[in-house]
Amino acid sequence: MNDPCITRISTTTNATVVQLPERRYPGVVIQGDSLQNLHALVLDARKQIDCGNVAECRDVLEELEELLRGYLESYREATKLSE
Amino acid sequence: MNPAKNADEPTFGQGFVTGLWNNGVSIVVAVGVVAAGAALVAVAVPVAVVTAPVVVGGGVVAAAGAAAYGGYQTGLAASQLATGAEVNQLGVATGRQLTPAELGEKAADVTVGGAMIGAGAASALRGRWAAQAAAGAEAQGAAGTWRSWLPRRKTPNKPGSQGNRAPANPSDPTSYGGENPDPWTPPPGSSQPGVSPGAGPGGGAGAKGVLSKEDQLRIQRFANTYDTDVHVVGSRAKGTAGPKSDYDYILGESGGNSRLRQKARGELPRGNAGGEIHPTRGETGIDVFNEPVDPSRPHITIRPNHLGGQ
Repeated sequence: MNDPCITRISTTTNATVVQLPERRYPGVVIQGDSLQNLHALVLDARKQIDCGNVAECRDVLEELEELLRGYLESYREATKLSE
Repeated sequence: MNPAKNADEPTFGQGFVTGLWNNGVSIVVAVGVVAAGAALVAVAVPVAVVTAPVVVGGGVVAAAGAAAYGGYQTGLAASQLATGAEVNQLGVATGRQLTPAELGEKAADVTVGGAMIGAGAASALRGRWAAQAAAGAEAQGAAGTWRSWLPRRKTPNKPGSQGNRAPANPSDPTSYGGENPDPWTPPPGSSQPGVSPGAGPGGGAGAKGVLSKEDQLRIQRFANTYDTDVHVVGSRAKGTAGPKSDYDYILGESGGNSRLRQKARGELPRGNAGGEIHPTRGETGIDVFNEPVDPSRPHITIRPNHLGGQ
């Protein structure tokens, strides 16, 4: 499906910020493999909790937080520039 | 009975001695060839026993049998060619001289025997390859050397740090190493440490799915330092890397632990674009996935090699 009304806000290769015509705020494109990795990290963190491995769980959560923050910063940067 | 032939016919004693000599030649040649076949089998067996005994078992037996039979036939034929005297299948001299036509047949026997030896060796090698395939197909690119055949080392994960998730589906777009059709845009922070100098436009480090020597060395150094397998996956392993392609990695058997992945992000080669997004530096050019390697998808494995002193 090709929608010419989708506006690309950022120029980055990953975490591209786009504006969909029917939405008020832009969104962030997450590549499928990256999304799967984020999900895998959540599962891993949960597994560490179940195993009582708090230290590893904390490491995994920090890793996950940093990756998510990357997307968030990319979004903030793009929307700030577009204002 | 032809009197002339009787005159040339050797005595029992001469025939006995010739037979002994021929047997000696046959046995020496056969034993030598069988030993070679056995050596090849010996190479195949350790891998076979560990990984795929059923698959390789047949290959080993076939290899030993083919090598032994080929060696014996070759020995018989070679000794008769050398002396011109006929020797039966038991290796005993009959006392009759071979005709030129028969000598030609013996020469053919040598060829057939050689083919049997080759078949034995081939079977042994097939056994080894079959075992390797059963253990998990490996791309024979940068790591396609004898190092790939070294015993696997287990990634020093913390206990229970990895789940047993199923490998990524090859037809699933969420599988690692997805291509990005976007035009080239220099990313912020592209000069940060870790960027491969050879990975310029055109995918210098992986346009053909083969890593550059520099990248190989860096990955090898990482594998040695942290005693872990490093799997290069995605476009760099597929041979479809472009100027904006990132480097996709999986550590160990199932992705390694968090600290190891963090080390990888800082020390392994990376591309000029794509990859994970760093909160302050933007695109990192590197993805380190927390999942097992899918053996059905292209990947290049680099294993620790402490013998090389790197």
